[in-house]
Amino acid sequence: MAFTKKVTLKSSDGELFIIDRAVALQSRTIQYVLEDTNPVDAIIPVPAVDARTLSKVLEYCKKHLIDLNTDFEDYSKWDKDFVDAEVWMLYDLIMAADYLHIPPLIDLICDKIASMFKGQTPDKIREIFNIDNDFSKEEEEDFKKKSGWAFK
Amino acid sequence: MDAFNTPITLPMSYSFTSSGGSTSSGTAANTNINPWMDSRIWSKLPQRLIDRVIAFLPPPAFFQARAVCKRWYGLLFSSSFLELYLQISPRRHWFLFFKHKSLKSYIYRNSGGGSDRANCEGYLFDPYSNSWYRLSFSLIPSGFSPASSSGGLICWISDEAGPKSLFLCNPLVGSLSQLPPTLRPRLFPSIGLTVTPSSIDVAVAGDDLISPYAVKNLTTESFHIDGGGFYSIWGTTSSLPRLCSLESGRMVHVQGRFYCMNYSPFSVLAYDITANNWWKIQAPMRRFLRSPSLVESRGRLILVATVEKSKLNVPKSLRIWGLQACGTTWVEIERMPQQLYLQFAEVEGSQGFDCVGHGEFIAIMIRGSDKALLFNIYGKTWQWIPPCPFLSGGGGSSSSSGEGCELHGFAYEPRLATPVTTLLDQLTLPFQPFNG
Repeated sequence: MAFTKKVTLKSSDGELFIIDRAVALQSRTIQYVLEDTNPVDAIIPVPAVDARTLSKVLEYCKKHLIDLNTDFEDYSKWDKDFVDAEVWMLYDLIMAADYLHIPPLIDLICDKIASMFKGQTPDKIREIFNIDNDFSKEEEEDFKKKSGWAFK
Repeated sequence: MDAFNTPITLPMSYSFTSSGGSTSSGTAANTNINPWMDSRIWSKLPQRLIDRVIAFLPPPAFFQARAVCKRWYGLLFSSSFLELYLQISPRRHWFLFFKHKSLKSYIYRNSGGGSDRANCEGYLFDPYSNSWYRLSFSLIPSGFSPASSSGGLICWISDEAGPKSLFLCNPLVGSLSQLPPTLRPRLFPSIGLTVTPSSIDVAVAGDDLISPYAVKNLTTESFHIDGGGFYSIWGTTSSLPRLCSLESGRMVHVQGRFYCMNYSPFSVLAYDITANNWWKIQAPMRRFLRSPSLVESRGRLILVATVEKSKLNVPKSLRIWGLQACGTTWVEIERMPQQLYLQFAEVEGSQGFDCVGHGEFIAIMIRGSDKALLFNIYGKTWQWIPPCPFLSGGGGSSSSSGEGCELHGFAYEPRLATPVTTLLDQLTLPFQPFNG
């Protein structure tokens, strides 16, 4: 009976999303809320996620719930298209997935971000993530000598 | 890198999937205008998530990224990071190649200044991006050859006849673990290795040099250790079927069994690790096979060979069969496109070839040359592997330069950590340290 029930989520900008409970349960954060308080037809606020991001997250949750029979190939294609998004959207998505605690979605986006910065030089990566270089010149040389194979 | 200057002239139609070839140069050109690099966005990402992103990097990119700062550098030694890495890092179906130790290369080496470093480096190939990396194996003592690979580890075995010494090496982190030596003396045994996160199994099979007559006495001795505290140091032995010839030196692991090719006449030998017994499986079209190889792919045993029926009106071809679940019948999965086969046959020139499989890929290496083909089972696509830029003074532009740098390949899954080898530490303590 619990699976047919609907759950209402409220985004940070006040939009309401009425979804199947099973879809919402993919978020462990929401799962805990539902288990703890068992709100009947109550509205669950999601204060950290705006409507645009939330709808995208729910799109992912619906896809990964409904198509349990879809084979691996189809999923990976769908997932690939899903993360083929604008950079700010990826950022919002990963923060939302983190807040809502949806590990497969977090990992999907992590993999995407990794594939974007894997060809970059250490200098560039420092710039992107705003990290200070705390190596001395000697340490840097020594490192290059040891891990030179990876810089080919 | 101009790794794509293939000396073989090939119609572009056969590089169907060479996605890496075009994208690698493409991304390099795009990086300057790439909007994703906006630090206003990514510098806000919490450290926890950045670590997770780093765990998804392929190992070469990970090692590059370690140069960013001391914290990133230290991730390789952080147990919480490595735990996360082992949990979420995707499996990469890469290959590791070595220069083949043939009699010829020994002679070359002796005449060419006697440098014995041929096996001290391996060539890591990433089939997803068509990139090559050179790995050092300088920790390996001389007189050892790579024999098998599993779970991020390469197994090296002593060349000399006698009880065999074996090492397991993780080249990315430079770790080296020794196995206790085998109990029986051997010359060129075939080595089977399978490593899971919590167990190591090794099978050494071949003539055990016990018979004083020139009669082969074919046996297996097996090594097992697991996280449950159970181990068996070469204690398990069994005999092979009579009249076998395991000249390839290779064994392939598929779901609890080792398989190896038996020669003249061709058949497949199977060994069940837990049951400790051997049996023979008939090879498909065995009378017409040439250069058969066994490979593993996605939990199945695959046989790759060329078929030459001289009397019949069947065109020569390279075919791929999969062993069915019943364990006795083979079904043809794929045949090399005829046009490509003609090119392949020309390069191969009846020298023979060896195959190795990993995940969706099968690499076909032509003997006596550094040329290799890659078949993708998912996409059913074929392509020539871009020549390894570290061989024979850059690319091998003349036809003769390919000689002497024949490649010997292994399925290799690069891993930043292989904690299973700590199981061996408790065993090797009572043994003498190896003085290489």
